[in-house]
Amino acid sequence: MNRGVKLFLALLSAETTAAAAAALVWAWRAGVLGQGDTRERLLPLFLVVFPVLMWGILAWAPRRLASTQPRLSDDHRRHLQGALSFWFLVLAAAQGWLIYQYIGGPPVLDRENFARLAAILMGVAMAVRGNFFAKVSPPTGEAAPDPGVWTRASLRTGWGMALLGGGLVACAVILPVRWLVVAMLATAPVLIWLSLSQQRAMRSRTGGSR
Amino acid sequence: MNRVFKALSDPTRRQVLQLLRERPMTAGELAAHFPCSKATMSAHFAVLREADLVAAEKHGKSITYQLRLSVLEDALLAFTESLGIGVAARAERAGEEGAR
Repeated sequence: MNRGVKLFLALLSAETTAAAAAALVWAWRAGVLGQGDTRERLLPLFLVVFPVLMWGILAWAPRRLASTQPRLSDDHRRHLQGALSFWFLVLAAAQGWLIYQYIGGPPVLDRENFARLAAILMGVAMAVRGNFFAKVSPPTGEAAPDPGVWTRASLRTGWGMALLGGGLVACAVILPVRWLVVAMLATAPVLIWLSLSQQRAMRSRTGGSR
Repeated sequence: MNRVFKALSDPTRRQVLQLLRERPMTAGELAAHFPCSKATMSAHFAVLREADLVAAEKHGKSITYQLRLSVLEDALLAFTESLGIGVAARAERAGEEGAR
């Protein structure tokens, strides 16, 4: 991971840490910490999950990207860095929106429109990343996968992500919000399956047709 | 994008891309699948390289080509293939050459 990206991710993680701490201090001083309904009581704790998750990823990702067994291609590394930057920005924005709601700021977007906007943003990002993922070069060096298997697997993963992203955008436009949330949750197992299938391709050392 | 459309408009180049789906191949291996001269095949490879649909890597004297298709380009490839774009023109060219 290059220094610029690492610094950007560290700054975003620091920002979410400071924002979560500030929200907790505000709630404590205002005497609302641990009061209200379940959602309101759990929200301050949920705000802390964001920085914990981001610092965890930041500790793990550079080692993974620098792995030499096999060595990721430059364009693959750039692709992953771009994805990390995008998702860190999304996490920071989501935490900011939750804090804004928690401290009772005047409503900007109601929950329904926020969910639709989030689904569209996620869908477009997934489709764009899927489109270009199919183009990344295979890893090289020790324990590198068979290039033919890698090419087919990354094309399959790319198609999966692009279709999933397009589907999510369509769902955001046409589905009622309750079903939209179900659709957003349903994308998770599909993404995990695509990721596992790509991992299998990373370990594949022999060629063969589809 | 123009380069991509140009590259995908020829059935020979589309066939090259289909062959590269199986595994990366050298220029010689690819050329063996077509009844064209080496110069013609080189021109086809150059068009594919320019459109960034294949990546070329030189190993000694041989060049190995590898597929580099995005999802959109793969969809365009399937679309042009299903419409048979360029197939009639190629048949006409072959007919003219045969008459000569």
